[in-house]
Amino acid sequence: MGILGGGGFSLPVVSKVDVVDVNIELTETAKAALSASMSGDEDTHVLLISAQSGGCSGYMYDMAIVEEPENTGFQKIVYDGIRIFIHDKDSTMLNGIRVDYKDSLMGGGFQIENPNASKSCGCGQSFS
Amino acid sequence: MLASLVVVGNLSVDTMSISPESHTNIYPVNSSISVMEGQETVSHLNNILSTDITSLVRGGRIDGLICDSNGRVADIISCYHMGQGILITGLGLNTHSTRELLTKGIPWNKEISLLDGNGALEHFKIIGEKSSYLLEKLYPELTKLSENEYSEYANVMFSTGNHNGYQVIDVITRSGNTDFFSRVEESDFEISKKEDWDAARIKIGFPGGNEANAKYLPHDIGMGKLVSLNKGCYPGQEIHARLDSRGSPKKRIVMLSTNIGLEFGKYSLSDGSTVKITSKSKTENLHLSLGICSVDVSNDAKLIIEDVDSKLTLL
Repeated sequence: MGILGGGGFSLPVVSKVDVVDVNIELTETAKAALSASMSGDEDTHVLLISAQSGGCSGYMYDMAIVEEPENTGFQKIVYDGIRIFIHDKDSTMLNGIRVDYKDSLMGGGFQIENPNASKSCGCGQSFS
Repeated sequence: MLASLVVVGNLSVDTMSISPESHTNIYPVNSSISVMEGQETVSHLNNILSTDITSLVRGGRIDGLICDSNGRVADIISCYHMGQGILITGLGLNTHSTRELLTKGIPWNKEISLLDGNGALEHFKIIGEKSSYLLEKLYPELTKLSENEYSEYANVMFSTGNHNGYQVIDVITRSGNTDFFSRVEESDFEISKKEDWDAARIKIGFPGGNEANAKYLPHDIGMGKLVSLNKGCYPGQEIHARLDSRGSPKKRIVMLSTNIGLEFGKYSLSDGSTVKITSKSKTENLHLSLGICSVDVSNDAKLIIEDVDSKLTLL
């Protein structure tokens, strides 16, 4: 029998990450760009911002416009009719972020400034 | 710096045996033991480690490093694919920081959980020239162990590895496994005291919590082989890639055997360089330390301390 198998043998789950109430800021250019991207789907779709392991600095941002997820662990923030979802597990990493949009051919697009990040990599997609 | 030095005798360190080959022991190791279960655990771990573990499959073992974004080693881990999860052992001193790192970046839409194996499982290492013989005596039922794989028998997991040319057998058992402890008791061998592991790992140059503490690059502590430069992004990858393409390692790990106990900190060497002592331990008649010094250090350099006999070994 293996060391993890067999009836009656189980291990406790390592305690989960802390959860805080998330505040984020959207610049006017980010709001305009998001409204354009939503193109009338605001009632059914949300902006989902998340963070996960990866990248050169440890964690990577992800932003996606998706159909409203059924998962109940999200905090919901509404900006001018745009609903932004951030999962509880990402709340400590993403609390206080400022989402900006730069209209530029080089390095343009949505950008995140994160006061919790001690370091960001050159491309701006990864932080620690 | 040199306060509290303890002279243990007028012995010459050159004439004393410090070879780990001379004894074979079972050492209890202060490790963090965790199990990661769920979807795509190998992929999640691969995003964190500086080592490519995408080839890890059931029955396999891959050793790896966790580095910070500055490329410094934050933990040294072994991953065992157990089928229902990945068993991860790391340095005990880094348990909290490593577990936080492993859990914090789990994607919200992936059902991955980290389980605490400390308490329920115990980790031992067997080191010495008779390590295979010892295991054969304890478990004649086992077939020969292969590197990068593990075997399980009667609630015990066995795996063999190699560090600086020395065979190291990892044994992980359920706590209170009476069969395991009875077999040890009936053999000619015994389980060492917990404090003996430090001396054993220093003898083979295996880093501990004072070396893998986010201050040293993998090459500095003899762990460069666990960096996969072609795997893509991981924390510290930019630093490791730059070091590989534009620079060369500046530091290396050494072992110092002395007739006195050294303190942590920096000491001058006879070749004009310095060594920073990071780990120390005492055997029956010898003090052993691990230190970090310039990669150019001379292998016959001695400590410049009056009445201190020292021998430096490059690792």
